Amino acid sequence: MLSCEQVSKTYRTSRGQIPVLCGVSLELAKGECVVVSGPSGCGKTTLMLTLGNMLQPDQGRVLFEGTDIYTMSAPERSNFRNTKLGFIFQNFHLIPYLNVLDNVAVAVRTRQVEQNDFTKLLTRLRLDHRLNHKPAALSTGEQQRVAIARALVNQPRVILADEPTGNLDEENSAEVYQVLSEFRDQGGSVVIVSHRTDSHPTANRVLNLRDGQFAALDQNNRPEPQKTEQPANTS
Amino acid sequence: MRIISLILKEITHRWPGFLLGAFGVAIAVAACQGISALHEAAQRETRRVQRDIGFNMRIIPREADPERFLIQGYSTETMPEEIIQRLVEHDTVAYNHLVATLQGEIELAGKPALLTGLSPTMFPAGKKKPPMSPTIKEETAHLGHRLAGRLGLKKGDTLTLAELPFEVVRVAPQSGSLDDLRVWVHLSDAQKVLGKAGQINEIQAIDCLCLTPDENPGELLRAEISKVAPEAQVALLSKIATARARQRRMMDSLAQTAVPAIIVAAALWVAVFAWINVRQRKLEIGVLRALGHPASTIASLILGKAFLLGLAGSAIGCLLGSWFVTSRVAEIFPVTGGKFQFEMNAMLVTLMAAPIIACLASCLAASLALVQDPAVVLREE
Repeated sequence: MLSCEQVSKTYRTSRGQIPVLCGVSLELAKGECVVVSGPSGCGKTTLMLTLGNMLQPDQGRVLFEGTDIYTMSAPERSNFRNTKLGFIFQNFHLIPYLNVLDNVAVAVRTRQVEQNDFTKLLTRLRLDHRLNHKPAALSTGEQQRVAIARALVNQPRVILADEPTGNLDEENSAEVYQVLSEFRDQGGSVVIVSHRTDSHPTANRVLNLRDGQFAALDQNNRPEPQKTEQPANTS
Repeated sequence: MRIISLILKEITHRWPGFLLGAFGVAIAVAACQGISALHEAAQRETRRVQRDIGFNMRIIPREADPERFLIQGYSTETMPEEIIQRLVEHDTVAYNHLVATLQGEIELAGKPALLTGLSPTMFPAGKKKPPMSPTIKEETAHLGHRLAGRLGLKKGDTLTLAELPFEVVRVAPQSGSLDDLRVWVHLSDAQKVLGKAGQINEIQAIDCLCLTPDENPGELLRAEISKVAPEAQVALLSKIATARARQRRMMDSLAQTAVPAIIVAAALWVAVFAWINVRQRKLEIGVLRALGHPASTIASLILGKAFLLGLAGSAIGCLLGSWFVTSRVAEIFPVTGGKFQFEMNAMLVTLMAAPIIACLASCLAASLALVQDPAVVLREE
């Protein structure tokens, strides 16, 4: 469904060039959940933004059902992100002046969402009693659930989640994974980027990203020693 | 979710910034409106005050002896009344407030008096202005102070001239000039009394030339009027004309300098607030882009807010400006201030211009929001 082929990305800063992704390839099947793990600065977020049609790679292609998403026009790319992808961020990135309902509704642009679907989704995420609350009045777990509702409301094909449980306790983390599992089980695909290599109950595969390349994991899901050519220090 | 709803919710959330921005626009609009209104009021006052000084342009028959005209104060020769119609219909006019006049000496109670017949003020097409003097109705008379005393007449009495009755509607205050011995009547009545039907001996007017000091208004006016009315000549009272031109230039230059400066200052104020707002909303804009909102939505959010800020500011500014001008105009312009009225069209233009200028001022901030790479913002956060 979503794949990238030999994707490379280098940031050009005033202090020189920083290679972040070095020929990364990934194939995400329908109904599959892939966790990309690795230490901070290894290029996880860059990979997620590249897969999310937000950051054009210097080399390589990103394909969605066979179409290179970076050959689309700007409006096509906006539509693609709106209809096919759902983003979940570690810091939730909710809009502070919108209540729960509006924070979810703000994602709806190109399709009509029935009130009933909103209610069902928000009830499923136990937010039905918080509809008129603004993010500042919500707990961390509730904020992340709003962010998940926002990612799911357009019924996307792929969810890209950046450290979705990074700020959550165990109970809330389990709930997030449960929702993502349900999404996967209904045929959706999920990419989770996380600095942790363990405890990803949703994952079909765990890929370790180190120094801009995927490295193999040992039997305990720990990265095997790898020959590194170039250091990367920006995620 | 509708863009306007998003804009209104953001304004409610960040109301101090919005209020400060709108306050700046309001002050600017109030100042511009105040200056424009006071400029208009000053011109009106000038016109009115100079009416008391007299018209600055006198068009008299060509055969009139200018020296005798100056000594006597009016021309004894006459010209056809229809000349005024030609002057009114002429399309490249540099004069306004035309009043046809017929004057002649008469005898009242055995002593001389001056009869002055005045037509209603006429204006060239598209140059209609409030008349500088009250229109004299037919069969009514205004009497000079000394003459009224001599005849023992007061307001409401009847004056008989050439066996025609005239109701005295006003006795002018003492002026210490020839006006104290004058009877003002309607032009047609003067023509009947003096037996000069269809004749006038002068057209009084005000020149509308906004000239630089090195230009000669007399030559320009004579050249123009000779084309339309070759049977007339022009006597320009240059002291009055120059004083009027100076006064008008002073007011014009004040308005022309101050208003653009205020607009630029207000635009900068709005631009700074818009820029700060975009910086504050960097992450929000990045998230909206990630959610698939196109550049047009982002631009609409920034420019829509600027439009509302301009609209709110201009509405408050119009009220402030109106209040200020209304409360002060009578004091500043004692002669005409009491009758001052706002031009509704100018207010509407101000009301619409401020939001448009606010949008233009926010274009840079909107561009900043559009060029901001959402990937960079989201990666940094």
